[in-house]
Amino acid sequence: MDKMKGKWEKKFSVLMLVSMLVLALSAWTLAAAQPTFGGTLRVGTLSDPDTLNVLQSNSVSASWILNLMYPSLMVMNEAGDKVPYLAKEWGYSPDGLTAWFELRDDVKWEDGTPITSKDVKFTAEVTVNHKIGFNASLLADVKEIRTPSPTRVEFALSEPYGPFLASVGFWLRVVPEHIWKDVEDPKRFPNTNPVGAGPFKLVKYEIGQYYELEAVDSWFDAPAGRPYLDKVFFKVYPDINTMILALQRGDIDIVANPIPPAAAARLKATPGIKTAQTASLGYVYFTFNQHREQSKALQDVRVRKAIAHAVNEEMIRAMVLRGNAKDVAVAVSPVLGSWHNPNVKSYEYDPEKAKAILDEAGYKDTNGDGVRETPSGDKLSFELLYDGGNANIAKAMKMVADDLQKVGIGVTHVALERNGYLAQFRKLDYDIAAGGWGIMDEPADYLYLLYHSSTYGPDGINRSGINDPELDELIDEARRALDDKKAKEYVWKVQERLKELVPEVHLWVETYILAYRDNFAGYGVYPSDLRGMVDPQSLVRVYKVK
Amino acid sequence: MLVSVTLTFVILRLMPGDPAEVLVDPRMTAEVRAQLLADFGLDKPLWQQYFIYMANLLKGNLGISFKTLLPVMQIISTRIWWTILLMGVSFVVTLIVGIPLGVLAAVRRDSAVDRLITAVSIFGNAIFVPWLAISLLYLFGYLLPVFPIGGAVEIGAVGWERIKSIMYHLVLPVSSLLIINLARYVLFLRTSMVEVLQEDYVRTAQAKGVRGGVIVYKHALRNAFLPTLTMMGLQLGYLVGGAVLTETVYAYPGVGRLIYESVKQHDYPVLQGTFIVLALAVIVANILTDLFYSLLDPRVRFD
Repeated sequence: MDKMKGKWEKKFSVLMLVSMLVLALSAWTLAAAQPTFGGTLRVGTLSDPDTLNVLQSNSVSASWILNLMYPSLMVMNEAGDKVPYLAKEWGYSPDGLTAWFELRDDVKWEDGTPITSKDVKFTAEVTVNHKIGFNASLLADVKEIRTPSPTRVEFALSEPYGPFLASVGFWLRVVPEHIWKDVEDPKRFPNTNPVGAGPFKLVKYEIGQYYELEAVDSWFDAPAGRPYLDKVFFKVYPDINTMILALQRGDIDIVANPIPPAAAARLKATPGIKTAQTASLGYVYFTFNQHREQSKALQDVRVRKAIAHAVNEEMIRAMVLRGNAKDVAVAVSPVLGSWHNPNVKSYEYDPEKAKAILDEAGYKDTNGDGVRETPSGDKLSFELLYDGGNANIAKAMKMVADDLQKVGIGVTHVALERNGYLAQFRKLDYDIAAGGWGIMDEPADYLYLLYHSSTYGPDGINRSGINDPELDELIDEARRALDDKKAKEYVWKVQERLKELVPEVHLWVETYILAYRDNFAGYGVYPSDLRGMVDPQSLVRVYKVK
Repeated sequence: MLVSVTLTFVILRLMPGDPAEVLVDPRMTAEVRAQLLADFGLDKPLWQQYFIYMANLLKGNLGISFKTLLPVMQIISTRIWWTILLMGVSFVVTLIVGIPLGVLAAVRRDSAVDRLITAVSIFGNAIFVPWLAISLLYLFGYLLPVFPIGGAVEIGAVGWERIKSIMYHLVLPVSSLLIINLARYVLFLRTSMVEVLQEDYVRTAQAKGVRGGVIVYKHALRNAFLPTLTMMGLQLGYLVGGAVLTETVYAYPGVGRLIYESVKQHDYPVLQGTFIVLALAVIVANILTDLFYSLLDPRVRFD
């Protein structure tokens, strides 16, 4: 009997021990997972902000710092959708002629003044009146701005324009009216002592060396009420190799710029360092000039289709970017989530098919020199214009040229240094030209600028000069649509039509590698190097772990 | 001076590419772009831009940076002191190391020592600057974490800590510059010394029984030094331009790096301003060299 009792006692004590261990373990894990306040995050950057004038600034590195200091109405989430930030809600009037934002009422500037619709109206008006930057173009068609309440801003438009709210919401950073109204020339204002509103505020900086930002006491987007971090430092290292060494040594905790693929492999193997990936909101492509006598053959869609089949995109992505790229069929990046039509795929690499198409269309090599002739006897040969200084594009275009030559299309390289290339590109002086876009965030808006027949010309960005009534109609509908769902339907149809028309061949969407140390956690990874891991939404959640 | 300024102005303006390119986002409308050009006076005819610039220059106004919107004079004056510090220290160190080495090589001509010194100097001269800089950073900043990786000073250091920090941050960049510039002084001096040591007056001194060291340093060096001095003087002016590559790799906030960044960003006013300051520095350096020359060589006097 005693022996049995002993056995049960033993089992019982073992059970007790185990449960205590489990409890202790869960308590410990929970405690460890609970972010604590404190810590200074040191971010490495290749360059200083171009300027602290948030209205005039036009550089990616400046944005990393300025986005922490000045709020926009919307931000982009990790899935590529635009979501509320300073603005809680937005919409159009039924006739589409008024676009409105409803702002949060609980956000204040650094000096305690509440942010109101007055600030938004002021920022928009200053931008338009002084024609400051890209935003001035976005706001050009606004007839009037009204502020019926401290939290409501209304823009009176001259005609309904679907992408208006999302474009302005994403790009316009709001400045305090009570400070900037006394600035004589907002365009020349260096803004050396900024007063902003954000999860962090700039307290000290020395140009060329560092920018010191301190957490504010309360910020609406911080899950704990205020950022976990006490401070964020941006340190400037003009040389990427030096910056990588600094990360390895622990002088900085994260590098804001994308890491070159060659260095990334080395970093991944370093203990204490992790990497993450984000994709660009832009893409690289080459376009066909369909308005030139000497390249008349490009007006034949079969020639363009054949070229699309002839190019081995996957190989190019593997060789040039070491695979750090995504396929992109037409001008809507897969990064843009629900805007991207997954049913529209790139033309498969099929050189035999390319040859067959050209044969059937009457482009044959009649004199056996390896280059086909058009039915009218001209050589099927094109000039390839590109930026010779851009290593990736130059490499890619050489591979494209090889692919084209393999199917009997002749190629002449016109590789110029950047400024020369840009000059010719703008003047539409090319047969085929390679190019790249950095950030294309609003398809209903930019598809118009790129492919509508009315936007062709040296002033705009329409490089292909395609003139297709059906495409025009679809693009117009997408722009007129006042709700996202409808706009997306049309944007999907635009993508289908673009595949049929082949105005351009899209080579890749670049993916960026971001490197950071494991002493901080909680990062979010946002699309494009413009946002990346130092987006304000990410930094409010980052906390120190060791 | 006038010629330098004019040349700088014209060359920068003639560079291919529209300066507005960098300022302008391709999605801007035509009017916004036109406004931008007008703001920076880039829409006026070239000769008008020139005269406006010269007028400002005489007032000491070097214009406003395209990018930072700060006065160019302010930008340069904050950064120039770092370059002067870096270059000044490196100049002195190179002399302290270079002169004895050059003399040694000359005196022990064709010996193993001479060959070693000459080889190291040529190596330093030929080496690719950024590679050397990164290698030093890797060896002494990472593998053996003795020295800081980049920067001029620890953020927030004050007083004595600040001075110590500045010195620490100088070691690697100065070492880079030393290795690179050594060749110039060592080889130059060695050649002059070798020539001078063969002169009659040296042999006379030897015959008189003057001690070797005295011959070398008091008599020979003083004369051999003259061509080296000329070269140093020419170098002095370029000091201000800074070692562009060195400053960039070491993240040193000087004028050299400013040039690199401004070229990348097509910030013409800053570039112009820096070139003007450079031209001025070269002129001042030349004047100083001439004065120094007269001190060393009693045969040269100003009328």
